Amino acid sequence: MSLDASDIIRLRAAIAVLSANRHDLMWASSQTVESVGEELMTEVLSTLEFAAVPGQSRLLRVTVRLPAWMQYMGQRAVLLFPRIARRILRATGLHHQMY
Amino acid sequence: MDLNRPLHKVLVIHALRPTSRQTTIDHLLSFREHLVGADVQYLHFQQPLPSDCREVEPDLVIVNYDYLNYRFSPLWPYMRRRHKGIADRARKVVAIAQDDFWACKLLDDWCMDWDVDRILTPIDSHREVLYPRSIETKEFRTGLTGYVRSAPGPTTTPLTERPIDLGQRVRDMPPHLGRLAQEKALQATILADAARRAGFVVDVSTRVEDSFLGRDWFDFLASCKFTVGMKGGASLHDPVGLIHTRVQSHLSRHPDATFDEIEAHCFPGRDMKNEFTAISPRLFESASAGTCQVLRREDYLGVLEPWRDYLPLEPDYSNLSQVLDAMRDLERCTDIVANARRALVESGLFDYSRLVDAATEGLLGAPSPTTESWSHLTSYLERSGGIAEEAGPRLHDACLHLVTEIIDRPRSRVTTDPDGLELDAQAARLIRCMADDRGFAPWLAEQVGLSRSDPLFLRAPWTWRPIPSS
Repeated sequence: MSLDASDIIRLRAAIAVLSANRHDLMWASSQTVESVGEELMTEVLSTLEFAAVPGQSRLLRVTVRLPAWMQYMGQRAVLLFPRIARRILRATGLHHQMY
Repeated sequence: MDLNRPLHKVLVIHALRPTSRQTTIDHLLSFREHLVGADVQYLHFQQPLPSDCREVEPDLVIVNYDYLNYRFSPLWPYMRRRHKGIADRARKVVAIAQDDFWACKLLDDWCMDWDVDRILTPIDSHREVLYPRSIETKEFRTGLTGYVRSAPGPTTTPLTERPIDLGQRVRDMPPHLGRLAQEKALQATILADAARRAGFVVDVSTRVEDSFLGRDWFDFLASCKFTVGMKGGASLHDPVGLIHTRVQSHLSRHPDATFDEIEAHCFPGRDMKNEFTAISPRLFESASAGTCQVLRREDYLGVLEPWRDYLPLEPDYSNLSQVLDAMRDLERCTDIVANARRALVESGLFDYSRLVDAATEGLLGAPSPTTESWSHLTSYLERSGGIAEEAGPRLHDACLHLVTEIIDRPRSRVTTDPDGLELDAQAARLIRCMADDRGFAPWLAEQVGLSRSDPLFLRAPWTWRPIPSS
């Protein structure tokens, strides 16, 4: 059973919600309510409200002031705690980029 | 071919992403296409493996450049441990490197750690600088960044019918690669400005948002009479990527800093000590698209002659007006296009079969007997690939996001029941529903089960893609 155009739109919107990707959420919010679905559109808009703007996080602004070696070690050290690392990535919008 | 003869078992480890270029997909698929008498399987490094598949003993493991390019990621220590057991049990291991001028110590150390037998690299000079440990004990061969597909070339329109005179998309390369890396965009901009002033129709951009992906790129190239290029590369030796981190940090604080300012602050006196250059895949793409190439005058694989196969631009741009004059002579340029196509495409010298030869020649002895573990791996990977094929890439991506959601945030948007998944969020419910309609529920539950205790899955923020079947 292949996906049709409306399935693709709803899937893109659903991925945007789950991944909290601001760019994709903006795209989803620009679609019509009919194409995305009322409930899903509500989720898109509420997620967009809190989705991180890449590069605008206070945590990031602080860490870029650290010496390069400290950033390098810090990025690696935080991975010892995967759930915290994932939370930081989501909160900073970095989870859609390479480290 | 003797049908009863066991096949060579070849495992290709890759890192395909939703955003991977077609060149990467072609590159990976070439092994299945050209490796006769081999059972070639593709394993994404993030793909979780059931326990009965982990004890495989392949005849050959090929590690692709898209995987190796994660070496600077903080996840690299987890990645290099993940499949080391398979590499240890394999008879031979081949690494296909690209961009090896960057974080090269990590690559060199990995080659030693995984006991790699052969390294393919597009860099043909200063290998001893990049691989100080491996250079002593490993075999090196040249592997290009792109090859030509052996399928019949596409039909293209004559130069006279193309709407754009000069077209190109070049990325402004990051400063941590050194001054040499900046040259490509600079050259394109200088020629574009001169061509515009001379009355040509120009569509050259260095902005990421103007780039084309997949088929669109080839269509764009085929709508241009001329394109501009040179070898790619870097001139800064940054063994562990610390200069990279320093530059990123500086740029975050001074987003408008010029290259000279960044150099003075982050790597004074260290640039241009070595030049690590490699042929760009654009050389072959342009020849296939029938687009006349304006290239910096240098050696191109020993097969391209200036004025016969390309229009040569001097490094100091001293012959800019001569090149622009030549661009007006479309009859002559049509001959140049035909010559380049003959040398690069029709000669067969740069087919993907050459890549496969370079990677495997002399390394495949007698095939080992097929083990139960290999059969399990084959059927698991084929099942996963089949799901992605049937579902389409978008639904496959969505299912993986759903797996992340289930494992990552069980108390917020999603709750799990003993059978697997009970979903609170509409987005999650929608994906689950689409997966169920297509009969993917058992696969989804299997992925949740396998990923839950997977150290890499718990840390990696990326989505993986299996290789398409063709």
